[in-house]
Amino acid sequence: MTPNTLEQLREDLRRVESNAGKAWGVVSSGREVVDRLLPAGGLRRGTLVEWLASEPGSGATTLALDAARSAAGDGRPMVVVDRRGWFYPPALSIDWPLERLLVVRCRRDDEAFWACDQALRTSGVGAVLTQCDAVDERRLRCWQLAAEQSGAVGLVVRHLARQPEACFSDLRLLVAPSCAVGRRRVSLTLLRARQGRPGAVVEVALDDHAYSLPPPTASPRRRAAGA
Amino acid sequence: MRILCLRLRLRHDGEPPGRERTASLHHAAARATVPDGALRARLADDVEEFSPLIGWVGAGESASLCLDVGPTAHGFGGEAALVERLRAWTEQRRLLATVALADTLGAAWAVAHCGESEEPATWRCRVIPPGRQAAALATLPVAALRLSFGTTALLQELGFSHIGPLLPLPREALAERFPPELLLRIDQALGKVPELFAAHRPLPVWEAKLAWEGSIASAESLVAAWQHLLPQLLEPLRQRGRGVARLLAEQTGESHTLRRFVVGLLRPTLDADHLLGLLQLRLETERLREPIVGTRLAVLEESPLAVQQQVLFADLAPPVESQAWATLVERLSGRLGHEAVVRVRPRADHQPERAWQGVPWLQPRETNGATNGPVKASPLRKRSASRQGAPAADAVPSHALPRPTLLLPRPQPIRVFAVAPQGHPHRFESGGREQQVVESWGPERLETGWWRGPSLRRDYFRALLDDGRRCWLFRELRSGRWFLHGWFD
Repeated sequence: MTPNTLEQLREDLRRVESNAGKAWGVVSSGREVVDRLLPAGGLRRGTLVEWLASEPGSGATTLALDAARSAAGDGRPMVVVDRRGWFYPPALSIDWPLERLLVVRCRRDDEAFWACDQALRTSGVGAVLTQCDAVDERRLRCWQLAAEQSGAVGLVVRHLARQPEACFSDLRLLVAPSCAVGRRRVSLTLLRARQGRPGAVVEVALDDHAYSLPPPTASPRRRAAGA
Repeated sequence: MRILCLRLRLRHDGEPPGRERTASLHHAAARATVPDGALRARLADDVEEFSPLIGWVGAGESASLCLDVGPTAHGFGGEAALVERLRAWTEQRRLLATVALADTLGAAWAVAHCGESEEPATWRCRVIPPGRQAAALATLPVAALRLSFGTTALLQELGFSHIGPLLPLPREALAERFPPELLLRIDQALGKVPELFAAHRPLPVWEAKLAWEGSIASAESLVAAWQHLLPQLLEPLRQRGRGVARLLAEQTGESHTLRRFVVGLLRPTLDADHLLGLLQLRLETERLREPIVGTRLAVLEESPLAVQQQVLFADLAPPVESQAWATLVERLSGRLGHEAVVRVRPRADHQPERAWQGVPWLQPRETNGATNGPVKASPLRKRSASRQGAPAADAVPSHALPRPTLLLPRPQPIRVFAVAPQGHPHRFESGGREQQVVESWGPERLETGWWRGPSLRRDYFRALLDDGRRCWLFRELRSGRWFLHGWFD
C-alpha cells in the first residue's frame, strides 16, 4: 500500500467520521491559544472532549471549565456531574452565570454515568462536565453518541497515569503542568483528533486572579539555587 | 397574588341587624369581642362571595380572616370597589374591621395588626400597592412579623424595635444570630418565599387508587396500574387548566405497611407518559420489599399550567429546549433524589466548606435565591495575614483570592517536614509520597466567628509543587497540624 493510498484512506475516514453526526457548529474553547491548536478552530458541538492529566492539580479542570463556559455562552445551561464531591464552585470567577449551572452529586459510578448520558442527550444543554478517571471506554462512546443527538459539548476530565488505548472522543488533550516559577503555565498536547493530525503542543497560561496577598516567597532550595 | 387581611371584632353596641345570620352574630358579641370558633366558620362562609380562597390565620386575639382577592378583584370593578363592598359587608354585620390589602399574607397581616392603632376602628383600611410591601413594613414594629416571643425579645434587646433596620442587613448575618423564623418571616412578608394558609374549605384532593384482590410482586404490574390510574387523576386537572407539580405514589404492602415516595416537577404537567416515566425512574431506586395489595396516586401540589411556563426559563430562548431542560431536571431529581440535583448558591462564609450551598432545583424559584451577583459582606472575620503573621488592616473582599477547583470533602492530614520561619511549608508527605514545594503564597488566614461554637483558625497556602501541580494547604493554628484541602486542577 503506497503512502498516497494510506493518506487517501485517512482522508476518507476523517470525512466519514466528521459526517457521522449532525453539524452543530464550533464554539471556542475559551482560550484563543487552545483554539489554534484544535483542527476545527474550537470545540465542535455535539462531541466529547477528554482532558487527560496524570494527577489532580494539573490544570485540566480549569481548562475544561473555561470550555464549558464558552460552550454555554449563548444562554444555554450547563451541567456538572460530580462523582467524587470535589467540584468547588467558589473557584469560578464572579461573573459565572450560576443561574444556568446545574450540579449533579452522584454517590455511585452508575449514577454518574447515567446522569452524564441524560444530560448529554438533552436538547439545549450547552456543556456537560464530569470527572471520571476509570471509565469503560465504551461508556465514552455512548456519551459521544448522546452528545451528537443534542449538540451539547461533553467535557471529561480524567486523571490517569497511563493513557487509554481506545478513544471514542472527538478530541483527547493531555494537560501537563509546568513547575516554572511565575505565571502559571501548562502544556497542552493534542493526543487525538477526529479531524486533523494529533501531536501538536501549545503552552497555555492559566490566569491567577489579582489578589492582595503578600508576594510569593521562594523556598530555601530555590533561593540557594538562585544564589 | 393579592391578600386581604381582615382583623374583625364584634361590636358591643347597637341593635342587631335584621338578618337572621347577623342577629346571631350580635348575640355572640355579648360574649366576646373576638369571633370564636363557630362564628369564625360562619363568617368565613359568608365572606366567600369575595374570594373562593379564604382562611383564618392566627389564633386568639391575633386571628384574622385572610382572602386571596387577586383573581376576583376585577369582577368587582377593581380593588377599590371590592374594598368598598367589603366595608358594606362588615357594617351589615356590625363588625369592627381593620383591613389591609397587600401582595403577601405577611405584609397584609402586619399592616392590619400593627399599622396604626392597635385598637380596631369601625372601619380602617390600607391598601399596599403591588411590590411596595418593603416600604410598608419598614415602619412597623418587629412584632408585626409574627415571631415567637423569644425572637421578638432578642431583637428588642439588640435594639431592633422596627422592621426597617433589619431589611438591609446581610441575610447570612441574620441567619447566624437569630432563629430561622426571622428570615423566613421577612422573606414571606416580602414575597420572596410563598406562605400558605389553611383554606376554610380545603381544595379538592385529586387522587386515584387501585386495590388488587390478591397481591402483586412485580414492578411491571405496578407500572401498569399507574398507567391505568394516571388518566383518571389528570382529567379533572385538565378541565381546570392546571397541572401536577408534585405527585405522591403510595403502595400498601401485604402486611399493611405503606411505602410512599414523591415525584417533583420543575413545572406542572399533564403529560401522563412523562409522569409515568418519572415514577418508573423512582421505582428503580425504591424496589418493592414485599408484595403489594394496593397503590394510590395523589396530587400533592397543582399549579396553573400557563403561568408557570412563563415564569420559569424566561431566559432560555426556544420553548422546546426549555421543556427538555425541565424534563432533564425532573428525571435527574426523580432518580437521584432532589438533594442530588442542585443549583449553586454562594454563601458569604469564609470557611471553605461552607462557602457555597447546593439548593435543590425542584424548589420554588424564589426560595432558591441563587444569584450571580457579588456576595454580601460576611458575618465572619477574614484576615489576610502578613508574612510575619500579623493580620492586615483591611479584610480582603470575597472572590479576590483564588480558590481551588477541586476541594476535598474532608481536609486530608499531611506531614510537613520543613517550614520556613514565616510559616510557609517546603516539604510534606501526603499519601505516602513526598512532595517538594517550589513556591507558595500566603498565608490567608480564615477564622470563623465565636457564635458558631468552637472557632476555626486556619492559615491557608497555595503551593506550587515540584511536578508543576498546585494545591491548597492549611495549618490549623489551634493544633499546629497541617492539611491538604484542595487542588488547583
